[in-house]
Amino acid sequence: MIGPGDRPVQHETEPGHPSQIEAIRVKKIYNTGTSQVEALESVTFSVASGDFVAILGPSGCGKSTLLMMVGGLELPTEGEIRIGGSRVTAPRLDTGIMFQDATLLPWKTVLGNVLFPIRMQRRPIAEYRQRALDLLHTVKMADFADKKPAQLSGGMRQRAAICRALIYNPSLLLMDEPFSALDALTRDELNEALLDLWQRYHKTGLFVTHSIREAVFLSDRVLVMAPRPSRIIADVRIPFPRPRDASVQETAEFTGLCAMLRAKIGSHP
Amino acid sequence: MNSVRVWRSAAIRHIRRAVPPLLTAASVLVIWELSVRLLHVREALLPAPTRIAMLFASAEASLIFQHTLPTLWQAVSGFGTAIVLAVLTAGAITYSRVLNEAIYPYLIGLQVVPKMALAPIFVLWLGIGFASRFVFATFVCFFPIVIALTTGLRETRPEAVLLARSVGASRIQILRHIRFPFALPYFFTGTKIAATMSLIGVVIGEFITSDKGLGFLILYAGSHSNTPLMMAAIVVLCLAGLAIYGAVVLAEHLTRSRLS
Amino acid sequence: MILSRKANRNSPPWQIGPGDAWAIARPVAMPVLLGAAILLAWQLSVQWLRLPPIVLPSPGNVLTVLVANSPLVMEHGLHTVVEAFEALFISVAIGLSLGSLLSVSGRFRDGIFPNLVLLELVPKIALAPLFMIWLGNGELSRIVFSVFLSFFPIVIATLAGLNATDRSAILLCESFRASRAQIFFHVRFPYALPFVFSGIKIGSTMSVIGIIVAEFINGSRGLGYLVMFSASNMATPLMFATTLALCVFGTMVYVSTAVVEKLFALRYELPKA
Repeated sequence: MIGPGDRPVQHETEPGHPSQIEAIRVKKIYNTGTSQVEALESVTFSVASGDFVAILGPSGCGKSTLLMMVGGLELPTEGEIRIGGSRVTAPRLDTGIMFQDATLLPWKTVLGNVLFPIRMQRRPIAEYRQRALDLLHTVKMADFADKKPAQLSGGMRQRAAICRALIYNPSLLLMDEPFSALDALTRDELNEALLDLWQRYHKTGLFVTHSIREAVFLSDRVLVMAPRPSRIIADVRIPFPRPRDASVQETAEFTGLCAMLRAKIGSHP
Repeated sequence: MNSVRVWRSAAIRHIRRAVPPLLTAASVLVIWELSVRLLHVREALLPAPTRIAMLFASAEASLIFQHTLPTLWQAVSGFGTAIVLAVLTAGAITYSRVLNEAIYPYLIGLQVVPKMALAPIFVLWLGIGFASRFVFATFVCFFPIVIALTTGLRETRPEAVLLARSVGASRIQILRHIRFPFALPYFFTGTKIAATMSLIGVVIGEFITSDKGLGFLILYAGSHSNTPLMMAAIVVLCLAGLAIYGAVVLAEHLTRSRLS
Repeated sequence: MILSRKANRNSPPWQIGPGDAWAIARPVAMPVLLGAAILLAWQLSVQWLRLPPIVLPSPGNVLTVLVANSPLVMEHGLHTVVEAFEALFISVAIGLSLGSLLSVSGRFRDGIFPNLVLLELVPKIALAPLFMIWLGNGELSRIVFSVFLSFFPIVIATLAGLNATDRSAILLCESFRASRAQIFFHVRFPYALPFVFSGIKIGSTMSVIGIIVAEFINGSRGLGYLVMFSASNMATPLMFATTLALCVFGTMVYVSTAVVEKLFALRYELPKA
């Protein structure tokens, strides 16, 4: 696995400035000793800075692999990925990542967990403490700052995980199905919280999901992927204006878009 | 054919995984042999591996064999008896709530007591001879098996039990057809622990007092400064331990393929 | 709690009758009754069969002897327990370091771990006389033998624990560029603690057994030695009494390990292994 923190810092975009993602003919093959698995056939796309893009597709279509490569946690077998113009070869400090499991350290408080990346980067905690509290306040977790993860529900843990991903002010936020382990009601709540957060902080966002509604609700663009071979089959603009709220999900246009995306996925099983 | 190819590649993988530890073991033996030779270490202090191996080809080999049988026999019979007793006890505890409440706390409590400390009571007080070491081996093996099995029987999924009750199964039938099969993995975990303990119990008993057996042979060889013989006996004992454990693993493998 | 059939389920909860009280007391009363019954049977059979103390002492006799000899028992008990703890500390140090080292280097692990597992299965107790040839009959030989017995489960458990860290936790740390050492100390090691402690508990039992067996074979002090001494002098009540003390002292070593584990669990609030 790559990315220890004691390598020299590579050229990165300044934290805070939304960055542009470019993926050029990216291919990923895993060698499992006895055979090869092609996780991604060949993927080319770009994301404008400040956009929120959803990657939508069924299991096995390679969307998580793609996200890992954008985040520098895996390397493409062929092709390259650039963020803000510079090539991604390792995890970068202009990228924050969230997984399906919040993975909070059970022995640290919520605040301690949010500040954990700062400790790992050996920056002074005092400077970031207020920022952590502000982030927690935005996701309505300010009262839980000194609680331990065991005392929180799944939704609350993911809120804390969002704050942790944003603590060092990355310009790009990568999210790998962060809400799929939650029940439907909590999921809707968190979608709105994420939308709120995003509309406030204007990061670039890449969000992997297998929920069509979630993809349409949150994003400016949806990249639809299909498996076998894993590739992008559609790139759909979501026309709803910003700022949005939950009511957009009731419109006929929303339902129509969902149906269209469902048809696209269905035609490439 | 495809299945042959799959089997063959699995076998190759197993062999490949066994190479590094075998290499490590071989290098340890080589270093041992060389240091004994080059540093002229006294045989009574540390004999070379080759010297120990030669012993098996010499007249003393029959001596070792003679003493292996009683030890092995006591360990295996103690182990077997413990299994039977443990199965009966675990079944009785799970079937009867009264017995459960009375006995289970003792089983749990006695788990943490170092039962090897009771060796002198069994071996000296019950008398020198086969019976006392056999009983001690049974005692030592009983606990891990009964506790593991009881846990397995208790942790049977309640839905399965409810289903059986709804179709009119009696308590004994539930025990036999649902709880015991579910508890089998737990049973084997406990049995594997007991397998290693059985020989340990017998050897400790022989250390304390005995006139035959591998434990006795080890002490005897030590008192005559016959370290090669001592180490040969230790090697045989280790192999015996692995054999008993291996037998349990084999039994587990066979039952698992039968049941699933 | 299991309600007995005698309890009246239709009565309001503040009217606790004898049926309910018995139902609540049962889980404690039953084992106590069983223990008392066994002790009583023991005492009575010694009296009725008029067994001489040399053959089977009564529970009363054993307790009297224990109390009468308590300074002696304490003195020897302390020797045994202190040596067991010394061996345990050394085992934990060796076990943790070796386990950590092996978890870092894949190559070492592949070559050494299977051998460790095999050595753990083998009756290592048989090597007690060998250690006595090498290191004599004293404290050093007992402690080294005891370390030899007890560090294996700790290494194996440490290795298992370090490998059991949630993969996403490690990925997360890599994503904000934590170094390997930081990941080890801040994430992998704390997550491994439940496993490490279960290994240490096994190790504590082994360390006690190592000391005791060495004392059985050729000791000059300690409770194991005292048991053998009383046996050779046909002082059966003392033998029973010292064996009882041995069990208690041995259990104390394990219990103190469990207490330390509890303290760590409270501090770190980790899920069970």
